Amino acid sequence: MAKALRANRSKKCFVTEPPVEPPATDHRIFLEVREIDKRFGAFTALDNVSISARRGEFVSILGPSGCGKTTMLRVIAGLEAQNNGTVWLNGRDVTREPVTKRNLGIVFQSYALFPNLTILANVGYGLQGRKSLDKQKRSLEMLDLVGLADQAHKFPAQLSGGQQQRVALARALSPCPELLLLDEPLSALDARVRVHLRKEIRRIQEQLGITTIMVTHDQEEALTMADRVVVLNEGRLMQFATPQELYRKPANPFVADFIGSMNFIRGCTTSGKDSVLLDGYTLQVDYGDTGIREGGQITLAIRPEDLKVGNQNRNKANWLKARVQGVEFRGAVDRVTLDLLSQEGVLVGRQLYLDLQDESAEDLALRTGHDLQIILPPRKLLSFPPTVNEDL
Amino acid sequence: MASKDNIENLALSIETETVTFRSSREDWVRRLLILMGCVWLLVGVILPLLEVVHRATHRDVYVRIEQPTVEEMEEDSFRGQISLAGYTVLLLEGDPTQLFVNNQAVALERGTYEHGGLTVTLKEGAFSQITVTAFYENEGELDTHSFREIEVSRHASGYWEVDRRRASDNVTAVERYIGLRNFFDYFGLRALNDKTILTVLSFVTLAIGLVAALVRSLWRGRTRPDSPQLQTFVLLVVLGVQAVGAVRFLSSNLVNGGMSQSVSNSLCVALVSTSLSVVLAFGFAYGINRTCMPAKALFKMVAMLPLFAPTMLYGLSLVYLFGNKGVITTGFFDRLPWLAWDINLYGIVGVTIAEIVFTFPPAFMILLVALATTDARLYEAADSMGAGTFRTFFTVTLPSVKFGLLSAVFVSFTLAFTDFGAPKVVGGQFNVLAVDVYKQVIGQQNFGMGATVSVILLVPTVLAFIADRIVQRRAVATVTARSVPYVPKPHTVRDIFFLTFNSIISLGILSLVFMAGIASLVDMWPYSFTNPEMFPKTWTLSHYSFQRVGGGGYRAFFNSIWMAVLTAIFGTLITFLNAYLIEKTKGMKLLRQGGYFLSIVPLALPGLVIGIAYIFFFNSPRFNLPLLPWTLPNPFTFLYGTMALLVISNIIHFYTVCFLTATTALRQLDVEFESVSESMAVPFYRTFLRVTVPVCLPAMLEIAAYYFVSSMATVSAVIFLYSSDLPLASVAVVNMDDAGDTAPAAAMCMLIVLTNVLARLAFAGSSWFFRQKTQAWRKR
Repeated sequence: MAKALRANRSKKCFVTEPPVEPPATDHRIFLEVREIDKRFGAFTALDNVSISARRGEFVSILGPSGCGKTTMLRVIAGLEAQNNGTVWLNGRDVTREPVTKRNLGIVFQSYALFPNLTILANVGYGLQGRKSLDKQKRSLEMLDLVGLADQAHKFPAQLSGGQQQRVALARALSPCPELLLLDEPLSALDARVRVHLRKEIRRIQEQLGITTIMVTHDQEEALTMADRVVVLNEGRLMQFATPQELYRKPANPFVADFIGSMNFIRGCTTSGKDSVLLDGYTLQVDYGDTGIREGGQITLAIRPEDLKVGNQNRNKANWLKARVQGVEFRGAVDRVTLDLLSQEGVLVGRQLYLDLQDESAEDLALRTGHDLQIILPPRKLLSFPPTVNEDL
Repeated sequence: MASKDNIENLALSIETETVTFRSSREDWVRRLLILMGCVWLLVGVILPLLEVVHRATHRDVYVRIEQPTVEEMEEDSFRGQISLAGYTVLLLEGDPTQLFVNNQAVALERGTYEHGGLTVTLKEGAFSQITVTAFYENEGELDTHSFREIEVSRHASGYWEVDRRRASDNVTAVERYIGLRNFFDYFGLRALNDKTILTVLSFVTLAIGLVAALVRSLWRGRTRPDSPQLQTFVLLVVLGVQAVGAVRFLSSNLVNGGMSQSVSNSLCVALVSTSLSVVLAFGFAYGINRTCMPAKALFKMVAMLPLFAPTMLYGLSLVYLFGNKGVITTGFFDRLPWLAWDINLYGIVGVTIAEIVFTFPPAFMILLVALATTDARLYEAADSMGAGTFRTFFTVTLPSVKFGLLSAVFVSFTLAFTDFGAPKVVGGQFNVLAVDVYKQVIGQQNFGMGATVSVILLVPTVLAFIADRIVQRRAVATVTARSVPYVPKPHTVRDIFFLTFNSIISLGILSLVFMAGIASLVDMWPYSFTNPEMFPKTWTLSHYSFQRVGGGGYRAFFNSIWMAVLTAIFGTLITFLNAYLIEKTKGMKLLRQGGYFLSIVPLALPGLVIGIAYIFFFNSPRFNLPLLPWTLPNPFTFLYGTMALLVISNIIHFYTVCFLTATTALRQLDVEFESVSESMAVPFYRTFLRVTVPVCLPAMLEIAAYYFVSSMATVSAVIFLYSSDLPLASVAVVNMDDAGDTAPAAAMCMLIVLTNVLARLAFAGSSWFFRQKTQAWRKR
């Protein structure tokens, strides 16, 4: 068994040449995790979660702290035994295999570099049973890949955080794993290094064509790096989709609120097939197949950047009257806080946020107390059943 | 992180459907190693302890059968004598046959005599059967303790049977369970019987429960001011009634004082020396941590010095200072008569002073750590709110070190309560429990009573140990935020006060460590000073030759060094490996928890108890299993009387401190090292050797140094285990002192201290060298 494993590990893997097949077109499922339950005593960390990854795909697991994302990674790795559910790698059931037999590379949040070994020895640590010349060649190759070949004889403590992170990546990759697992790989770094390393990791991942699972609590990281994102909350799978889908078509209010910012308008009443009553206004909504019945309650949601400032003179559909409560400068955008007014110009006690991107608040001469018309474009309005996440 | 299992929490959750990983060969190796660790601790700690309890609750009843031969029968009227359990049953020929029990002629009824627990049956003018169920006590007094009947009977084919087994020719020993009888004997409660024992035990249990409830209600009253005070009051009243009852009961049942005086003596010494030692150590540590006085490093070193010496040394120094011919008692040999001061050294005073010095270093170390980890931000807050010095002290300083203080109290109490060396030297007629154990075992060869006293010695020790564990668990829970270290600002009055205080204490420690050393260089104390005309030579090294004194001299000294070296090497390896396996293995929770628990237990065991337990366990060809009727052959007896057993006893004696040091060092390593190497299919032993050991080497050196120094100085465990072929330096000190050779005893103590200081320096040097070499990868 060990011999076969070693042979498997020493299979040629590509470092400089591109993969034979581009990973995006290879639709064969490589990793599949089915119906995982994991409890720690009375606490449920994972509740019936199933995810999968195609060969060469970059999947990110995203969620607030304590949602079970690291546990999920540890279950995939075989570092944690689940209470229920199975793990499949490359069509093989590895549920009962320990981490040693799963042929994967892990980069931990703390990097866990061996402090008493040089960078070169760290990277070559998993290459036991090979000739030392082979080992060194392979280690240097990996260090070259992460751009640290010149640091080979230093110790981890002598490198910066970002460099240590890349050493950990090189170490995880050097025995040619089939699956790469990253546990919050960038969380310990400062913002600038983080942005740079995001691209680095993605470049290396694409170059090797290795299937990768990354855990993160940073939505920007997940959205920019991953092909698909798993959103977890309180141990439950919220949505598993591409970043675009997550942003444009969130499956539930949690995802809608967690990814980006979102205005929620609660307590609307549906009237007819595609319109909604809100404080005397009638809004056109495309709520298609959400299963909402006529006359029922509904929660509308719209992103602040999708709100438009309307022209006073032209009466467009879906317009609302609002009063500026404050303007906040945020660099690229101006965020305007609005108090919604009824058609008669009375405050109705709702607040909306509006992000101005094309023209600044100054251009529009928006000031506190100023009244204006806003437009809620029907195509951008999302609708959710009521009472879900009412506390948001 | 929720996924990390805290092995100190023994809460086990039973999951039904958890997926289990296939075990690799490595997993089995690990399991086997942990199992071996558990077995090692079982054999080293638990089984010997059970043997002590067994010996304390059992007694050998000897049966001696004397029968005249055919020729002798014709010569006189002697027809046989059987002695058992204190009875002597004699049969003389006559008409009718005359039976004597304990030299008194007794009458027979239908061939049978029955009295107390004894039944004698005669047949055809000879003994047929004798049974006994109780020991013969004083004349006219019936013993109320009974044991399972011992039957002595004549077999049809002529030989004698004891307990249905053929008796040996001379004396047959039969073991019988005697319950707590030894304990009541020890306390002089002779008139008790089985029924009253039951009553007493239930009352004792009730009293313990009530005291616990009282403490709890007092505690709650402190933390929750609205809790009912009535409960506390009622508890107090009930306890008072119980106390009156207990006094009445004791006064009516106490036949003689027994040896119970030792218990109160031990408690008294331990309590007084603990309170003084902790207060002094607190002042000393406070001076070092909270003031700007100079020479802090020097003071720290002096405070550690007593760790290097056997406790007899303080006794010897005290004798030279305050003894009958001591420097201070005689006022510098009448040269400074105004200084002459007799403190009545022999007895509680001397023992207490020696115990204060002995318990000072550990108390000081614990308190220094506690003071150093206090958060400076609290002081800034107190300062900004205008709290005065005293208010700050009572509202910030004391609360923040309270766990350290409690821990120091428990540790000091245990050490002072169980110490043997100092009371042996300066105790005089003042008996303490530890010396009682020694006297029972070595002096009177009464192993049963020795075991009994050891168990009595264990009770407060184990209670202190449990209390300390509870306190430590709470302490861990309260340390939350990363605190800012306190940096003292200069304050002339305070600094000078503490400089003086620390100097006085250091002077005291130095004089108690080195007084004996100076005296060991004097040719004939005190005559070299008082009668210089008769003893012209004052200073000499002759006491260091150990000629014409017992104890083994330099052979003992080098044996001790060899023992310390072996203890350091094997102790470090075993301790570190065990700590590694328990700390860094995933799964196998039950085994690891068991191993952890067993590793903590030795802390509660005084050296004397370990020593006596080892005599019993490694000496008996079969060992008893608790509550089971059968015994198992003991495969470890070959160790008895060997160097290996001395080394094992030392490793076990000092195991817990080293184990905790190793665990702390291992916890500082990244928790994912093992996961990383596992994910790369690297076997665990490779990572252990290539990463864990090199990174933890300073901690391992620390452990080795501790083992070495402690083994050199210890006397309590090894005094029962050394043999004349294997004399030891610390035992030699006791023996020389017993023989009145005080100066050579002091000389041997000084050799031990010097060896330990040198060894400590060597360890510090190698640690420093290693740190220099590995500076490149050690952070800052």
